[in-house]
Amino acid sequence: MPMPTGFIPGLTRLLPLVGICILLISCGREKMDHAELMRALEDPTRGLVRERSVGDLVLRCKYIPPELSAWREMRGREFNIAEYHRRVAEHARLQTFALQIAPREDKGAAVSMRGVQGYEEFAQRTAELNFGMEDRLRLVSETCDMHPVLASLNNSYELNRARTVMMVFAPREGMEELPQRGTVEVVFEDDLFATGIHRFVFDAETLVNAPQLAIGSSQK
Amino acid sequence: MSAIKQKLLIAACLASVLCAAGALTVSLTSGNTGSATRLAFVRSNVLIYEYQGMKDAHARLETLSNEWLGEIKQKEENLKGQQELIHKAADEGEVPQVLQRDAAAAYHEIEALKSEIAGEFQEKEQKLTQGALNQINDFVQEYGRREGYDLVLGTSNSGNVLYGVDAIDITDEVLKELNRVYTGNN
Repeated sequence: MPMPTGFIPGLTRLLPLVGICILLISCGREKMDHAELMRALEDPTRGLVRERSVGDLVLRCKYIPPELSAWREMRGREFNIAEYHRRVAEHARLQTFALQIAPREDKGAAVSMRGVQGYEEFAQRTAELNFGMEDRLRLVSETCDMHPVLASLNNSYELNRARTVMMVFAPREGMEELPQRGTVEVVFEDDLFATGIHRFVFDAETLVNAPQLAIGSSQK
Repeated sequence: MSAIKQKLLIAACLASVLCAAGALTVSLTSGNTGSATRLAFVRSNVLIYEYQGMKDAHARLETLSNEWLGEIKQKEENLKGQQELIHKAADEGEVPQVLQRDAAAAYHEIEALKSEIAGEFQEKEQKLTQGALNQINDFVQEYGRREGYDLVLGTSNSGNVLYGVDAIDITDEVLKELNRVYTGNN
């Protein structure tokens, strides 16, 4: 069926504009090399990290952009750009955060040993940090309240006193995407170190527009 | 009104304003330095119960309690079903041993679960409540330091502060700031 002739010229004129808009949106995110990106993620003025201090502990919740997650997964392997983009696309559907629990001053016992008396308690603490964090973490927004699909403790090989838990939130069945507007709260219910409940509040749009990894310099 | 009366009224107003302002900084003279000491107090109960972190902790505990009680209730319903089967079997003659054994096991399981849940709940309650109190204490310390107070007292039921003028009651401002930080409304 032929298209109405009056419509096509108007649409044709608009197409370049639409193309430019799409290009601008996709390129809108700042590109950074790995070191710059790591600094940006730690910069509180960018709104990608939130921090709370209670007692002698500091809790820091940091957003991890999809490109960084993909890059980390591929670290140590032969870099393949197509594979990288496939992984980035996968991670773009998720939201990943890192929760670091660190002593306020870098001295004394490691976080995993705080308040622990004896091997049994240490084993319990280790088990809870490794396998019990999903229940203690939530992503809350106007449209969702969910636990992470994955919450894993980074292995620090006891080399430092802080511990970091990576958490990944995925859209539930029936949900097209995770919140893109309004606020996103990562809630940590801490009954391990008795620092209470923490709400790390992020602006969803800030997360969507977080800087991305300039892969050209980082895959080497 | 005569001019003298007007002047007196203005003077009285000024004096009351100055008194209120003066009350903010209680001039306790330190022995060594002679500097004024800034004192304030907070109504601890208000701070604790109106703190959103404590409200969240209580809400979480209530949710947990409902979940756990629901689990027990479900098991009790199952046990009730087993007991009905036993009664029915008894009415009809002999009760199969396996039914009795299963019901006894279910009963013991429920009792063990109740005890386990009570212990877990108590521990969770203690840790979450203590966590919220730690957050408040830390915040008040930080607030006091930042706002230049030398001493911040807390009223409590044991009566460590029996009276204080409103001018040095900083409960509302501390609570407002505490909740602002907690809810991330920067």
